[in-house]
This record gives sequence, C-alpha cells and structure tokens, in this order.
Amino acid sequence: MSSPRPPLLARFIVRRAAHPTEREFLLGDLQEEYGDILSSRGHLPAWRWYWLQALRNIAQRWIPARRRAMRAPDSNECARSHRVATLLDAVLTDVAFALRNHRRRPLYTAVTLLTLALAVGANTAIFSVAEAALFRDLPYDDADRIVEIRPKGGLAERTSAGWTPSSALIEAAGIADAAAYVPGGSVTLAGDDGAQQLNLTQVTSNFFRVLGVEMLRGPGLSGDERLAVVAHSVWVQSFASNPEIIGSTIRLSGIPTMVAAVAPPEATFPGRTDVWVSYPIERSFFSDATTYELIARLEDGADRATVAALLFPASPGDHADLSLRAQRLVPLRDKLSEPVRRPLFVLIGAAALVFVLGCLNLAGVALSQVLRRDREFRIRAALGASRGRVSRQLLVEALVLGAGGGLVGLGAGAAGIKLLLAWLPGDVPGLTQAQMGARPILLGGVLALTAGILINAIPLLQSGSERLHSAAHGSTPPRRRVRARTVLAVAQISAAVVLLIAAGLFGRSLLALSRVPLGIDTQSVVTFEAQLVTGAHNENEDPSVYAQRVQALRGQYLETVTSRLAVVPGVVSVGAVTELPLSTEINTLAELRHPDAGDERRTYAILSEATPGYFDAMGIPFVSGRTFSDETAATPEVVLSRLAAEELFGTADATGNTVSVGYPFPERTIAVVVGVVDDIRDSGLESRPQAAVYHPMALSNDATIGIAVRVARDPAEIGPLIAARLAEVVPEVPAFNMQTSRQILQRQLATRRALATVSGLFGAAAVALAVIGIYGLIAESVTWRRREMGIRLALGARPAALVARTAAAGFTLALAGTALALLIATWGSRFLEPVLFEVSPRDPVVMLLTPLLLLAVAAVAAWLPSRRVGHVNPVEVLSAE
Amino acid sequence: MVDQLGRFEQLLLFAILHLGNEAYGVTMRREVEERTGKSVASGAVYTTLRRLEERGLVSSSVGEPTAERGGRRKKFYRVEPAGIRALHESYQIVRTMAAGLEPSLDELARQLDGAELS
Repeated sequence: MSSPRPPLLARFIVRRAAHPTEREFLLGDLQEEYGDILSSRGHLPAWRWYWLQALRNIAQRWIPARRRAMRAPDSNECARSHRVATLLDAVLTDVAFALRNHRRRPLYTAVTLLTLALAVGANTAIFSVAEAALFRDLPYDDADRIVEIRPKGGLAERTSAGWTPSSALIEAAGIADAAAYVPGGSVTLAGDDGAQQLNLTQVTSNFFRVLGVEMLRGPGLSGDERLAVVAHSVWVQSFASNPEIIGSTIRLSGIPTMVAAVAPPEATFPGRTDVWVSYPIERSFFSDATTYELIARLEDGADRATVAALLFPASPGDHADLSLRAQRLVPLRDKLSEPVRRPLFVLIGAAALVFVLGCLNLAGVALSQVLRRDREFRIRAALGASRGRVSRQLLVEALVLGAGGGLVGLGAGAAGIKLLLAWLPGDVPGLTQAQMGARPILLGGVLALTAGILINAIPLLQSGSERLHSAAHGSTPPRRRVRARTVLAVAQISAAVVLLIAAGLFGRSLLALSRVPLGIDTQSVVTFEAQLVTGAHNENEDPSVYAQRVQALRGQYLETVTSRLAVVPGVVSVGAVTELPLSTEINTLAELRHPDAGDERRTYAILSEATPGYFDAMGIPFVSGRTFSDETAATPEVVLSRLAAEELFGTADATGNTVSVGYPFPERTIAVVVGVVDDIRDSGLESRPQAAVYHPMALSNDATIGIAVRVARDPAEIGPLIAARLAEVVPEVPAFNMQTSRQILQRQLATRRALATVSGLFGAAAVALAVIGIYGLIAESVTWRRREMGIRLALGARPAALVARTAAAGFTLALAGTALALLIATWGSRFLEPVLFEVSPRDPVVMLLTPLLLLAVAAVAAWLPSRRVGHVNPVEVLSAE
Repeated sequence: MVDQLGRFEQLLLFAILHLGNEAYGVTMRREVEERTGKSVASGAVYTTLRRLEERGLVSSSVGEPTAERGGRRKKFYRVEPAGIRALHESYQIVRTMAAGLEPSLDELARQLDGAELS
C-alpha cells in the first residue's frame, strides 16, 4: 500500500523545524494522521491540518527559542501553542473560505485569473526582454564610459564630407583611448574533423583595453604583430579547452596566426565574433578609410556632449545644436540595443495599457460581485459581523486571487519571453539571455498585488459609502455603484480602442514595408557564403601574384560548385558576388566619375564584384543593356544600378556610356557601362536604395564569395540538398550563412512583424476584456431591473422596444468610450510616429475602421443579454412581490 | 521535594498512563486533544517529551517502520517511577488545594456561563 503524500513544502518546513533526533518520529506521526484525516474527511481538511501543524512547528521551534532558554522549565507550552494556533487558524480559515468562495463562482474566478494572467504575463515577458536588451549592464568594466564614435551620416558622407580628427584631437578631447575594428569578416579554420567557418573581426591591438575586457588566458594583443584572440565558445568547442593553445599557431583561411589569448565567455562583441585578429593600424588610420568602426573609452568624468563638441566642431551649415553633435558619440549599450529599442519601449507602453485595462476589468467584475453578494454581506452584518471582519474577508479573497493570477501570469510571462525572442531580430546581444529573473518576478508580484488590492479597494470604497446593514429589502442596485460601473466600462472601451488603433497602425506599417521592393527575388533563391583558403599573402609577395592565386582558386571553386550543383534537381542557375545583398559585411565604396565632367559629376557607389550569371541567379532585373560579356574583355566592363546611372548621367538608360572608376582601384580606369540594373536596398528595407556598381569578379582578389542559387522548387526544401552536395564536392571550403532570400526578407520585416503581432494580440485581448465588461454590465442591469421590466410589460410595453432600449444603453457606453479613444488617439498617436513606416499617425483607414469594428462587437455584446428582457414574465415577477 | 511539573507536562504524563503500551506521538496528541478540547502541535509534544526524558521521568523505545507512516518508525513512551512520583505530587497539590471546593466551583462556573448567555 502506498501512503498518501502530504504537501511537499509543508513537509519540508516540518523537516527543517524538527529537532534532529525527533525528525523521523514527528514526520511519521504527521503522515499517519494526515492519512487518517484524508480518508475520513477529505483532501482539503487534511491539507489544511498538515499546513497548520507545519506552521505551528515553526512557531514552536524558532520564534520563542530565546525566551524559552531563559525561562523556568515550568512553561505553559499548551497555552502559547494554542494562541498561535488560533491566529493561524483564523487566517487559514479565511484563505480556505476564500478558496471555497472562488470555487463556487467558477466563471468570475476564471475571468479574474485570466485577466490577471494576461496583464501580469504581458508585462513580465516584455520587461524581461527589455531588461536583457536595454537595461542590463554590458559585461565590461565601466561600460557606461564606452562610446561608439559616429562620424557624420552614412558611409558615403563619411567619405565625401570627410571626417578627419587628428590623433592629437582624440587625445585632447577627454577620450582615454580609442580603437578601431572591422566587423563582418569570416575565415576558415581547418580542424581534425573538417573545416569550420568563423566570424572574424579585425581590431587594433588596444581593442580589448578600450572595452575593458580582461583575457581569460594568455597575455592578449600587443604591438604590431598579427595575433589572434579566440572566443571562449570556440576554445571550448574546437580546441577542447586546451590551455596549450596560447602561443600556438592556428591557420585562419590558410594564414598562420599565433593565438595570443582566449577571451572570456561574455566577450563576443561585435556581433558574435569567434576570433579577433589584430593588425597594425597607425593612428593615421583614424583619418583614413571608410570601412571600420570606432569605439572609445571616455576619461573618467568626461561629459559626452563636451567631448562630442570638441571632436566635431560646428561648421557653417552644420547643425550648431550641441545635442545633435552628442549623438555622434553613442553609448555602446545604446548602439547594441538600437534595433529593438523603440519597439520595446512601445511594447512596454502597450503592456502597461493592458495592465490598466485588466485592472479596470477586474474592478468592474469585483464591483458586480459586491452587488451580487450584497445580500450575503447584509445577512452577515445582521448576524453581527463587523465591517472590519467583512473587509478582511474581501481582502483575503482578493489577495488569494492576486496570488493565483500572479503565479499563472509568471508562467504566461515565461512562455511569452520565448515567443518574443522568436519574433524579435536575434542579433541583439543579451537578448537571448532574457529570462524570468528576480526583477521581472518582483515586477509581476507587485503588479499582481496592486491588482489584488485594487480588486478589493473599489468594492470597499463603495460599501463604505453606504451602511452594509441598510434596509435588506431593496432590489435595485445603489445608483453610485451603477455609475461607477458605467465609468469603468467607458474607460475600458476607450483603452481597448486606443490599443487597437496602435495595433492597426503597426499592422499598416508592416503591410507598407512588405510592399517595398527589396530589389532581389525574394521567392526562389538560396544564398550562402564561402571563404577560399588562400594561404598567407605575405608582404614580399607581388600583389598580382597573390591576385592570380586567388583568381585561380576561385575559378576552380566556382566551376566545381556550378557544375555539381547543376545536377541537383531543382537548381536553375548559379551566380557569385563578393558581397551578398544585406550581408553584415561593411561595403566597399567605389568612386565613380562621369568621364567628361570631372569632379562635378562624381558619386560613390557600393562596389560588388560579380559573375555574369549573378544578376539572373539573384533575380536583379535589367533596366537596360546586358550583363558582362567576356570577363576578360579588353575594355573593362561595369554594370551600374539605376541610381548610380541617374546620378552620373541623369538617366537610367546609360548603357553604352563610359565611366571613370577611381578608388579602390589602384589606378583610375575607364570602363564601359554594358547594362543598368534595378536598385537594391542594401542597407535594409527601410533605408533608401544605394547606388551600386558591379564589376566582373574574375578580376577580384577578394577571397570571400557569396553564392546565389536560383531554384525552381521550394528553396527551404532544396537548401539542405545543396548543403549536402557542397560538403561532398568541396569539403575544404565550408558553406556558411546558408539562407533563402525569403529569410533575408523576413529578417528585414522581423521587428515590425513582432510589433504588429504583439500589439495585435494585446488589442485582441483588450477587445475581449471590453466586451466582457459591456456584456456583464448589461446582463446585470437586466437582472436588477426584472421587476421594473415586468411592470412595464404589464402596462403594455412592447418586448422588442424594451430589448432595444436596454441594448441601446450598452451601445451608448461603447459610443462614448470610442469617442474618448479617438480623442486620445488623435492627440497621442504622434508619439508612435518614429516607429511607423509610411503610415500617418492619424491614418484615416485605421481611425475609421477600428472604432467601427469595436462598435459592431459592442453592439452584439450589448444585444445578447438584452434579449432576456423580452422573456420576462410579468405575472411571475409581480406575483413574487 | 520531587521535580515540579508544568501543566502540559502533566497532561502528557496522564496521556501516557491512559494509553499504556500504545503511547506514541499520534495517540498522545489525540488523547490530550480529545480530553481537553484544546488543539496541540505535534512539535510541542516532542519538545516536552524530550525534556521529560532528560529528567528521567519517561523513557522511550523505537518500534518497527510502517507503510502508513511513509516507512518511518514510531517512538513509544512509558512513564518511569520518578515520573509517576512527580505526577502524583503535582496532582496531589492541586487536589489538596481544591479539596471541598469542587461542587461550588462547578456551580460558580455554571452561573457565570448563564450570565453571559442572557
């Protein structure tokens, strides 16, 4: 026979409270009696009895331990024990009564619990994520002193307008140290079990000093040598945490590099870097080039605005506003959380609104319960219960509900975190560590408690204004309570409409964004990247020899890949480019000039080196002309993007013109424009398209290749086939970042989709709550006014007219709430403007449709309970008098 | 003069004597609760018994584990001669002082109850 198991937590308490020599016997006694009570009186009494015993054991053992020590043995254990028992018993009785009460009203309890769970869940989930992304300190020393230095505007402006702070200026301006890095690189690491692709960041040797990161092992970067720092995860996975790695040489894309250190686990900046490689960057580096990022550590006490003003002196025509210039020094934490900052703040606001709405709902429901239980309270008052006693009962009931709802809400919150993380863009550091930590739980507790007390406070305030034991024969509800419920319902409806309007605006933004052409085929392309293993390009080697080596390697690789992938069923064509659109790598800008106009007709365009088949494979349509003919034609050929053509020639039809290409080519080259293609939004769907120039890849010495494969089947299905084939034919060059072009597009939409989805969910929940509110209000008024309706019907009122009148009362509330919401939205939606995309904050469609939707739902919610009025039997009602 | 006994100690000693060979935690607690109508905590029972055992007034022996106790053993108690002497003396003191008062004490209490009810 298996013995029943007493409540776990209570048993634990007993075990802890018991004297060690008696533990076994005490636990045995309690379990024996628990079993007896369970079989004779049922689960709840047994549970209660065991808990009471457990709590009394605490009182017995811990509270009076000192007093007992000082007292004569002639103590009165029994009396004290009895006093404690009485108090505990009273509280437990209240709790048990509350539980019973809630069980007896399952609908009310379920609605309240669900509302609380929703309100607490939404808030804790969003707060957890926001905490991880926005508020958690970076794992660096004095992280608030690390800033990113942002020269003016975008890349093109950086190059053309030129930002040239001298190293002397950097030192003078209150900056302790500044480092540069080039993110987005990748290298191949050959290992025992095949090659592996690593994310590489090139850094100046003071990079980790500026970040304030201590190396886990090894001395770290120094001097002008080419050294590597390995990320903790790579050290563990690829080097089996071998400490001997320090000082050993690893081959990164064939280039031997000495490992100087292992970074601590928390260091992955920028992005998810696997290996940092130092290369000598002179201080002059800071005034050159276009392809690095700058971070700096401010001196202790240095003010960001002041430093910015020194670094970026106001020039004529420039914004003199100091705060604008301060924006060029961005705290690192803000930079990292940038993509999700605004959406998260909006969602925090929405969640707060859901909480307010939940509380309104709870208050309404609680008020209706007080109305319904009026009789119970009056009887209790008549039997001599004090107001205090009744209040205590209400308080305990509210707290029990609050605790229950809070617990369910925390569970919902934990699930919500997972949902949010799935929706939000994944490359924000810290986001993945979002969890239901101490602070979110504390927040959830505070919210649940607030809601619990609120549930309780309103009924109490209400009952405070009238004596509970007032005449026990009235059957109409007191006016004040009805008025309070009316106000609550109106507030609820307007909160719901406001949330719905916000959700509508976000939905429209998502729609608008998804209609923006990315510039590539987003349906049937699979892309991946590869890094050729080229070996070292040492300084004594002639650059052209190195270039030939790379070109030969690439030619071989592309030929193998193209021919072998062609036999994979569903593959249509294969093309290659140095940098895939929307990849994280920083673009190289080429300087283009109109051959006759000199400096006046000059523009900067993103330089891509591509194979002739790339445009077709990637789905970039030609506006005019054709692709490269022969990659080694006597006259160099280029393909321009529409924007580049328009900027240089004033027309998209620029085929046949010549263009002069300067940087980054070693010498100025005249090339023929053989075609013009559509623009690509290379910096993201929400930014403007950028001018681009395509150059034949055969002439490039870039060892990184992006491959686009056009397929005639579902790209998600064919991706694995391609990967398997590649691993077979070119095992030494791993394919990485394999994704479908659809995924590329989805990532662009991710943040807006998350915003629209979450706010849409909130809006739906808000409408549900508001509808429940209206329905409940009308249903109740119908119950209360049965007698009046009976009399009216007896006097000859038409039932249909009565139903209409009752429903109209509910509908009027909805109208009032909606009108209020429209006022609030017209005024407040401007705050949403920064997170909207090509949608006016007062978008007429949203402003019109949303209220109509709610009014329609509200009409139904008011009409349903009103029908009962028509069924009132006057004879029955009047004879009951 | 023998050991002085507290009231709860007296109650427990009486309970053991009532129970004979069946005196362990559960039965003792029930005996006191049923006879006095006051609720008693199991922990208090053991604390007091420990003190009585230290003073040599009771002794204990450990029984076999049983299933309904989750495989735990019982601890049985019996009253030692010193315990009987102490209990007898304590009770004697009360009895001596109360001698001749019992009927009128009952009557007084009844009268008080009646006054409260009306």
